[in-house]
Amino acid sequence: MKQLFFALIAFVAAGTVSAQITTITPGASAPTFALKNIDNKTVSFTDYPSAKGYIVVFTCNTCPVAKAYEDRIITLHTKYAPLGFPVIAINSNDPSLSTGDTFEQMQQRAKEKNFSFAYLYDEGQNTTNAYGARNTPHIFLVRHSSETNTIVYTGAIDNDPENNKSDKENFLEKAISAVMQDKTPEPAVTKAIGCSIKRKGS
Amino acid sequence: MAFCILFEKKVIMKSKKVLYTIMLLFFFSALNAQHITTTTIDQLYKRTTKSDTTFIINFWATWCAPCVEELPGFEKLSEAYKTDRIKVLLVSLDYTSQIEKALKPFIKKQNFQNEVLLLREDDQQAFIDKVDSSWSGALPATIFIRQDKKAFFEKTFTYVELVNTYKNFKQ
Repeated sequence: MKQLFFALIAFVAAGTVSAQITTITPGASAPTFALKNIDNKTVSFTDYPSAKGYIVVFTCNTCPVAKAYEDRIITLHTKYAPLGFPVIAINSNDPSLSTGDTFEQMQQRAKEKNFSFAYLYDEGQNTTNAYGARNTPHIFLVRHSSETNTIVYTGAIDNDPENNKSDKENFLEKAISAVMQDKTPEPAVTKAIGCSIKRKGS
Repeated sequence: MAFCILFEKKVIMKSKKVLYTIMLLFFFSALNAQHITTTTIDQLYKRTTKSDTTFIINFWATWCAPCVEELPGFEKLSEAYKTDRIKVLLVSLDYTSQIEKALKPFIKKQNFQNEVLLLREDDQQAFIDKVDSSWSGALPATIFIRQDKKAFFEKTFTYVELVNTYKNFKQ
């Protein structure tokens, strides 16, 4: 009976967790993580001693929108890592629900696309849930100063998933420039259509 | 002179032939052409007012695998509850470049009984919030609306969940 009671509690709790994913907002401190990279080495913020900030990208191998942004993510890293803003990509899908997102498939994708940035495996989706990433690709721009890591922008890379608009707005690049000038990004939150994250228990 | 008349007649005959061909082509293309009605969020909302029908508006795209998986559930629901005042609208968020390539062939293959619409909104920020301020933009998403009552879901529905949500909403 006691066991049944606990099982019931666990069941209800699991249901609540999946239903209440809230996205962390600008101003909040960025949750730390130590996750396995595609080269099997563990990566965290402290591995980038000269960083002024981080472009944390919750993405995956399988979402067509995320794939459409891959080349733009590669360009962002090439352009901004030397300026102190490296890309840290995190695969946010549960591989048991999305079979194209296993660690091996991540390694393969990174090789195919020649990723020069970290592409991390989020076992148990704890980091994805800590940030409250909702869809792929979902960006969290982090400002690093002395000992603090603060979220300064969340949302989309730009407003042009098909990459063909003449009046494209590069939200993320604008936010990075703002941070570089010690200003607050405006807008600090954007939204875009993307793929839902394949969460365990949802 | 005689030559001129003969020449003119030939030209007229030829142009008539061209005209008939064009007409025939037009007729066949009209038969073949699939027309997808476009809509804005405001237009969708406008349809739901002044009506005691329950509108179930599903936002999907051909590139979204869980959307494609749950679509038959919406077809089944409207069929099972067809005696109710229920209207299912399947609103596609496919990109413009995919309409001919992906969306039209998909609609033809699926032969949807519910109304399929194509969303025409330029500003993602604005329309996502207009649908619901809690929506992250992840697909699929569904709203249930009856007059002033509204419920929004950013999730993939199983058929059972869909039926239960509908029954709860209807009360």
